[in-house]
Amino acid sequence: MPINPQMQRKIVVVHGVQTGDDDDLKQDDAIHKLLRQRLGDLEVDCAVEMYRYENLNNSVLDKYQKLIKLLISTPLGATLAASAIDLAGDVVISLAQGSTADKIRNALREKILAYYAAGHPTYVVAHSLGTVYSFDVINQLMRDTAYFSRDSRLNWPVLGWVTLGSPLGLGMFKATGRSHVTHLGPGDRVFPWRNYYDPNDPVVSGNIFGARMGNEKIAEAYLDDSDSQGWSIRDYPVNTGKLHLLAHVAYWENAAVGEGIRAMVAE
Amino acid sequence: MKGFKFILLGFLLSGCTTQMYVARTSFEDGDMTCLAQAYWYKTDYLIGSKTDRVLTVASGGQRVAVQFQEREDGLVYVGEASRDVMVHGAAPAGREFVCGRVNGLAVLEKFAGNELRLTMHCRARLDELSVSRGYLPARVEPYRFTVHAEELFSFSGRMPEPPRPPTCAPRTARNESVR
Repeated sequence: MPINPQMQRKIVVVHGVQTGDDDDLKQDDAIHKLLRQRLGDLEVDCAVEMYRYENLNNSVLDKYQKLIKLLISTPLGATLAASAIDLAGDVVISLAQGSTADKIRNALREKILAYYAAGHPTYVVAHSLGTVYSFDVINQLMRDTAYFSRDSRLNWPVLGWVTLGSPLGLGMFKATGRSHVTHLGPGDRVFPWRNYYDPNDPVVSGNIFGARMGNEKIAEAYLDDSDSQGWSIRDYPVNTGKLHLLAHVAYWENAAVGEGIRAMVAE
Repeated sequence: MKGFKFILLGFLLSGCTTQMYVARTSFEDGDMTCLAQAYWYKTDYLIGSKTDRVLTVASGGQRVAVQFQEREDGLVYVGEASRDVMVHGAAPAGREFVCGRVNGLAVLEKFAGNELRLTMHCRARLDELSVSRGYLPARVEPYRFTVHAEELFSFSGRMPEPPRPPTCAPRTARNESVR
């Protein structure tokens, strides 16, 4: 069933590297607040929904967390170690092609296709590691010939993708099957990918000291000269005002990000 | 004591002054007078500074923002044949073309003065899913934005609140409110 333009628009937020569990994730509230601030006169019926997968991660990591808590006796040490494992574990799981990564991707795909089946125009906003999972799912959907006709957007399960603080420019992700995007074939319409990053964000640059990046192409590095690619890709370096890891978690309040999401949902 | 000094040093190094530049103009849109505004942030730290390298230009009414990038040929909005239609100027030959330009400014970091001029040559290609009327309308003469700056010092990297979204009003009502 094709998308019904009159239906409520859904913005699916895919979170990134986290500590804690699903109950700690509130990025959908942050995006909702940001959009409400930037909407102005423009009336768009849209809802922001979170895709939570942290509990899937945590079940796999439980044994490591228990082990480290045995090894470290002080409460502070145990907390720090558990947090470090939580963060590093997320990255490892995303790189792996194992069952947990598949579960995370499959559940995201199912969520998107459920909205599509109900006729909702759907957009994905992803942060950090969530950009890697959503990259996989969107490209997988594009390989399915049932979707993404180039002549009409009405059979697109995802109408646009916004990435925040994405590590997709790092070699380790390129080396694990994410070196190019799926070509949509000949036609007229293009799939928009808008990538926002702070040049001091260490997750984007891979520099643990958060050294400032130059004018590197991150998402735009995926563009090629072929007319059949069918992607519209833009990198937007933003100033969050924060440094190092604080810059990585400051996108949710950035006005330029809010304007970009608003434009994508309404265009 | 050593740890305290380390924390204090980090605190001082992260202290910053952020300037928010807000540029505003108005334009006629059918029987409405609308506001358009561009804004960007520049943050100065004890060591170094950073600036937005994207210029967001928002318009009132049923229009969405358009975002300009710093490219080799200046501060531009790059259009695409599948998303944008050239209204003023020759039909573009390639897949990408310049749809808008900030005149005389290549990077936001170098901005000085109180006026910003911006040209728009394109309109958005809309389809059955579009709920907006596109972005800032194309016109032959440049838009002239008046710029003012607001400054905030913070140890935590707090930024000045972004300006409220621009609005539109019937032409007579806007004129009366101006008077």
